Amino acid sequence: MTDDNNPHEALASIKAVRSSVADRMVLPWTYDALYAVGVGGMVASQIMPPPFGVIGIGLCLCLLALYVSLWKRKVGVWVSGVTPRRARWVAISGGLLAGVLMIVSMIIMDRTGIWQIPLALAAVTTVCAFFVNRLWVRVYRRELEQGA
Amino acid sequence: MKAPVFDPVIHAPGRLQICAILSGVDEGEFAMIRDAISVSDSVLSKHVKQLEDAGYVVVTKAASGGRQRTWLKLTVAGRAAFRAHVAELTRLAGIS
Repeated sequence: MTDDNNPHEALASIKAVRSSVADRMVLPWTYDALYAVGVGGMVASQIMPPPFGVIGIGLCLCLLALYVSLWKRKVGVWVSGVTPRRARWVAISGGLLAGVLMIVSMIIMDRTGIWQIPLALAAVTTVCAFFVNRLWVRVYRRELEQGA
Repeated sequence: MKAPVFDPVIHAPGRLQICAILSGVDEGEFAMIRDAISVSDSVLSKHVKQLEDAGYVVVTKAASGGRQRTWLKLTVAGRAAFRAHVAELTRLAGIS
């Protein structure tokens, strides 16, 4: 492209370079698994008695920080979950789901002491977080390629 | 929709592509942008300096994985200018 690129060429170059960045976001499933374990672990931490529950949440937050660090290093960009216009609704929905499941686990443990149900909810949260993370990347990549 | 405004600072191909990447993310790493637009470090540095001087980009440095990494981010003014420039390009493309 020359310095006096015409509007069609300029718009095409914007689309092309954004597509090349979107392509970098195709990462192995292990990244999604790391994120999912971090989120699911926070729900599972509700089962543990004090102070281990707080320690568990702290460890999960460290895991999520590691995920962010690895993602940034690998992809070379940083995007907070809620920045993109369309993909943000995937992030918000996933966050709400994880939050609700965590609160439900806390209530069940507090009122009944039955640990099997919160453990099952933690497993559900882990699976949901895995697929929500993959969905977010897919929606965001499409959004980036379309220049939304 | 932002009002169309042609911006000569952004229009140069290299700077247009830098802004295109940064407009879709919160922050972009220098090396990733260099590879994405296929330029040398020095050429990218010159483009970044011009965008920085225009108040469109901020540059930060952070240590990660035992290395110093440079991160670029569009300012609010930079995002607005890029949106206005793209709107103008779209308008021009529509009449040409």
